[in-house]
Amino acid sequence: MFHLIYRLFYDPDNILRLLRLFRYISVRSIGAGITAFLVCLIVGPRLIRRLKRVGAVDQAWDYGVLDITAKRGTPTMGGILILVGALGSALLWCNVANEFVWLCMLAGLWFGLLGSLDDMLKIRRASGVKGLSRGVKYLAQIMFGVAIAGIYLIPDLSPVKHEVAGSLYIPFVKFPILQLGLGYVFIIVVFTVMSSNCVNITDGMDGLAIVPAIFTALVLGIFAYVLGREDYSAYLHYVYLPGAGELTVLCSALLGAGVGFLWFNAYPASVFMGDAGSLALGGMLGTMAILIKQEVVFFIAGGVFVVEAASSFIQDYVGLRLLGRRIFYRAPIHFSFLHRGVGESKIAVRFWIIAAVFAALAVATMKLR
Amino acid sequence: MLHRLRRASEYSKASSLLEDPPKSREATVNAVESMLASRKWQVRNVGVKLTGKAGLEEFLPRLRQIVVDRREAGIVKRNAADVLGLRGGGDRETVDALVGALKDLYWEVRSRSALALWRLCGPEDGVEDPIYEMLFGSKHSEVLKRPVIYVDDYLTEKSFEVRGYAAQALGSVGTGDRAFRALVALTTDENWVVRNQAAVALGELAARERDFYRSAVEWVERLDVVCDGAISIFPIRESVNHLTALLRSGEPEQAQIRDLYLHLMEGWHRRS
Repeated sequence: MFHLIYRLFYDPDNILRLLRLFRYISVRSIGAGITAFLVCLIVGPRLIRRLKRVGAVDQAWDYGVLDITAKRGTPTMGGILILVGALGSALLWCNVANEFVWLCMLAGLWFGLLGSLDDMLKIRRASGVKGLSRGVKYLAQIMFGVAIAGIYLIPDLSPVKHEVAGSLYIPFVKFPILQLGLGYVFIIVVFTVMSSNCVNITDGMDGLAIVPAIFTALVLGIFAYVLGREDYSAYLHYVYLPGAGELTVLCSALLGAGVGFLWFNAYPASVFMGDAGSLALGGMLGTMAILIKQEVVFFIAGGVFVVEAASSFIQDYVGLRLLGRRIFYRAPIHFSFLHRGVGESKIAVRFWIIAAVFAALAVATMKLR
Repeated sequence: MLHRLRRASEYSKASSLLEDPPKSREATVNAVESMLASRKWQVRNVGVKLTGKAGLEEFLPRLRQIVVDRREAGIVKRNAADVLGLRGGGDRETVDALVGALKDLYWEVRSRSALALWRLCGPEDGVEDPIYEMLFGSKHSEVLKRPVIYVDDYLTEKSFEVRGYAAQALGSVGTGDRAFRALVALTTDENWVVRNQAAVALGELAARERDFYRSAVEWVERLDVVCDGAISIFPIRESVNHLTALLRSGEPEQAQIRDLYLHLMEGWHRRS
């Protein structure tokens, strides 16, 4: 909105010249972050009360042998708070005509809706496992992946140049390693499913998923800024993506909303993000990574998500289904530490530190090319 | 594909019996028999669980074989150890099978076998040596002769879960100086859960063998109680739990209820 005001009313000859500030991505990013944070702080207590009143409370399920009764009754679906904060702030500060931005906002809405539906079913059926079936969730994620791939790879719809859209870039290499063309659809679909589920799997402790998501948003925001600037991208030997810089504002809004949510989600949590938040965060961040062609960087920056998802996959499919034994004490890996007697808040803080290291590594790949 | 579907259907049929067991004992026995003979470990696992749930003692010999079978899936052996611990009755064959399972390569089998021994055995059963061997290796006799042992220096058991249950088992089956030394050593474990189990086991041992009483008290008082703490302090929950227990007991004394008030002047976490 502010960007639109600048474009409509900017006049260098009078006081309206101040509107030029809204032209700058840096100014709007700061504004978006602060706005999202404040929105969360203001809306948060009301939303939490509302969620409690309507009975939207966590349906605890078996986490191995651990006592989970202390968590029973905590409101869930706090992801709505993240979405309201981030998307509300983005509407105010982003140039919503920008295709990068609306595609990511669409991702947030789609995955947020999917997660909310899952949460609501769990609440209605009073069971932590009786939400949407795995098949339905995968189908919805694949559908979105195909839609994004379609928009991204069809020249008239794509926000990037056609020759760039189908290329696969990886860190440390200046040039695309593969020209996949339509084969890129597969990469996009798989990546979309993986990114949203990774965050979903990680979300099992107070503050555990949101902080790595904040770091990932920060890293992707930095990349979007660089790739959206012709001078910086040329200097660092990246492909220039006009308009991608606008994603920095959205990332900043996401970051602000994440910090705002953490205010309530910090141990002991007053609200959980639920699938409404975890799927939406994963979906949005994954879509951003696809749009700016930094899928591998997403996996480095979100290393915590990858480790969590990998541990869960290994435990479920290799250990319990194939070998008939556990590989880890418990999975996802954070439950292993909890099972060993390490306190929840300590595990969360240690994972935050690891997430910060992963984020720093991801940013370092920018220069090591 | 067809093979996978068949396997899934065999497993789901078996699982449904676990939720809703057959009405007659004979039908249950037949179901368990066919499950334990299945080629799929997932189905055999359900058979083991159903044996425990229905209390079918005729299958205990089969469970004793399972628990020491090197080729059996770890989860099946683990559950067999659990069932033997709960339903095995403590006869020599069961105890020997569980002792044999202490050497299993999978930690959950070792830990559940130790737990089962704690449930079934006492000091007269003479099963402590295999527990020492599991904890300290083949040279456990020499290790346990030393005056003070710091467990990290000699421990061969890597799993905290096994060490914890082994300590618990020693509380029940341990005898004399060796058990005392082993438990004292385990009170220096890096994991607070193990230290906790060892301290309680030390108490159990001391209550049985009064010669160690004073030393046990000293060691428990010196216990490193610093822990990462998996359990939060929720005073209101604690109050409600106590209050519910008291009220359910029928005739609570007024003084007991009064104890639940928080001492607001000295911090919310203190009881008055």
